[in-house]
Amino acid sequence: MMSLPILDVAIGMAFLYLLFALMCTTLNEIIANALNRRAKMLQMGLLRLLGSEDLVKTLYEHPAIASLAPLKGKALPSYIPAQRFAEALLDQLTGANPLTDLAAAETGIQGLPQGVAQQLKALLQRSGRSPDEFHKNIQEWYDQTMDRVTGWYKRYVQKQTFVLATILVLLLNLDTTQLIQRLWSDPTLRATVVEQAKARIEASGGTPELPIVEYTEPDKTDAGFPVPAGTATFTDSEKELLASLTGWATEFQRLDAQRQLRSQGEAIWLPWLGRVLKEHLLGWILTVVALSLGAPFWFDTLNRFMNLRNAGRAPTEPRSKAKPAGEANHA
Amino acid sequence: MLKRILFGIALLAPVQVWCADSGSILVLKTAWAQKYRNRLSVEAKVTILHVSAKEKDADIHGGSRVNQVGLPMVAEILNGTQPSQKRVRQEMQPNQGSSQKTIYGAWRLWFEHPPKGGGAQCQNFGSGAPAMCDRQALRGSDSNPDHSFEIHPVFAVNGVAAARTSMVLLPDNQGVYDAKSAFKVYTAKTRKVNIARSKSGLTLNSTRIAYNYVRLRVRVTSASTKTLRDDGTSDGGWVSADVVTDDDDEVLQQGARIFYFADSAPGDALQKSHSGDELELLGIPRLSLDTILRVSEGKQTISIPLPLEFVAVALLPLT
Repeated sequence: MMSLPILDVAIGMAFLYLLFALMCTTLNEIIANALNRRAKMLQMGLLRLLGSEDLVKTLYEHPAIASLAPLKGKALPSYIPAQRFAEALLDQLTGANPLTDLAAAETGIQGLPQGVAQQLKALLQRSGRSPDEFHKNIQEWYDQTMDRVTGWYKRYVQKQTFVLATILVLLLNLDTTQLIQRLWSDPTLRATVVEQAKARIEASGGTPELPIVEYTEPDKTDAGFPVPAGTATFTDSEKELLASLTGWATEFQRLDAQRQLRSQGEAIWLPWLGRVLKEHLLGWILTVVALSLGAPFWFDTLNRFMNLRNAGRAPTEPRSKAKPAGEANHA
Repeated sequence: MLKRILFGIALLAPVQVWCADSGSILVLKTAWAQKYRNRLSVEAKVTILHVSAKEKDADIHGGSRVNQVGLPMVAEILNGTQPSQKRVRQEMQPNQGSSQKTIYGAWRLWFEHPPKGGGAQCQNFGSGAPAMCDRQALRGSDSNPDHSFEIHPVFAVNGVAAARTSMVLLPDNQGVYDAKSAFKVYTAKTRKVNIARSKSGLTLNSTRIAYNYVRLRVRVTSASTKTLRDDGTSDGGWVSADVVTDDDDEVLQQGARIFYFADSAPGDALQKSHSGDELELLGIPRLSLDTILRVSEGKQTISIPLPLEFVAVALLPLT
């Protein structure tokens, strides 16, 4: 086992970033679910695609799409398969006529806003007046837009993660430079953090957070639905570690000390704030950048640092024969 | 101070390139897994959305998001475009009678088409999946939605049988691998299944894997054990066997469970086999629910190498 202080500091930082990033992820999920962001992005995508609020509303009311909503009449679906979209749109265009009636579809297209009508006419032309091809072309057109919607959602999550990371960093005073300094100068703390990182890697089952799920009607094989029962989140020792490494206690103690020493009329807040910014700003920026990379990234990084640490052999360790490849798989 | 900042920056910069896929998640109901751990097959009402044309491996796929298994899935008819499969192929078409079909075949858990970009799919027999199961059917075509569960191979659709005639290896199948190459991937050091277990749920996490059809040379180590289908009758069984290489007799997997359907050529051979017999088979790998349940018993989380078992789908001439 290779135990270099610099490697242990790197492990410690990756581990702490992982824990902070997990906090961000949890908050992100809570906010996205509460605001129904996925469904709203899909609605925006459809509006961009069709250019008409009325048409989007009509499509959402179509049985093929309405049935995808989690709660009837209350929420919008988070996902619409391309085939269902094409069917609902063709149904709207052809009215009472069969979905394969392209003449009726052409008449329906005339009544749509100019942009979408032009697009659909082009798709119809490209299909060589084959109903199947037209159907397929509509699906492809929809899929292309959905790729963009996925991109929007990713960017939204990235932005939200950045904002949450900033809030978390300021609330908990997560200063990278200070944390590195503490890990570097305190071998006991360093060893504790490395041990906890090791325990998390071993217990995590290979992912930063593996959801634990319980089911309703647990004894039945064909009934019941999943209910999240948490994740393998923070252990008590991790919580203690986070509490000991974060927070404003030291800074507020300094402020108190200054307050007692101040002369009458002397301002203390501004000098204190100036000193805090001078000492922590760069560390905070580094932490925000690090947390923006996300929990899976830091989990993977931690794994790699750990592998590197485990690759070397301590001088006191005995030599052991390597396990033959594939042996572990013989279940 | 500057030294510390530079060190922080140096720490952040190179790790960007290490970013990797953390895999996707499949949540199963433990009671369901217990029921099927020693079974070859499952029979379920499945609403088929669309049936594909011929795939690279000569199968045809019927995709489903609503079914009695409670998971996005695909039902695959082996050699589905062959004239001999015309009846069963037609029976699977959603516009042939009702789109809801009774499909009977081998269950298969395999992370071949998990949701792109990660996320969780959950087995759900009720209505309205919780937010964490957000990748129930996020992407993929209607004949091949994102899925990690299959009925593959299909033995019958609405009672129209496919098994014996479909379970052969034809030159059309362009997706067959030799065991050595396939096991190199299956047993790679980084290939793990991570399991989190609660009282009633099993969370599985792994990364994408393909290698669907493998030429297997097996040396039988124990006689056949019968398997039961959902109606309580026996429909096949499994033998325990060592998977060995053709050329140098290297053991790739010891004591692998090789499942077979009774009414098939590989089934005939495996039913009659004795300890020590060698057979050449075409196998489809699947995750062993039995191993997953056994190793996770009494643990909240555990990480294990890919727990493999195979369904024999063709008997090949011994080389």
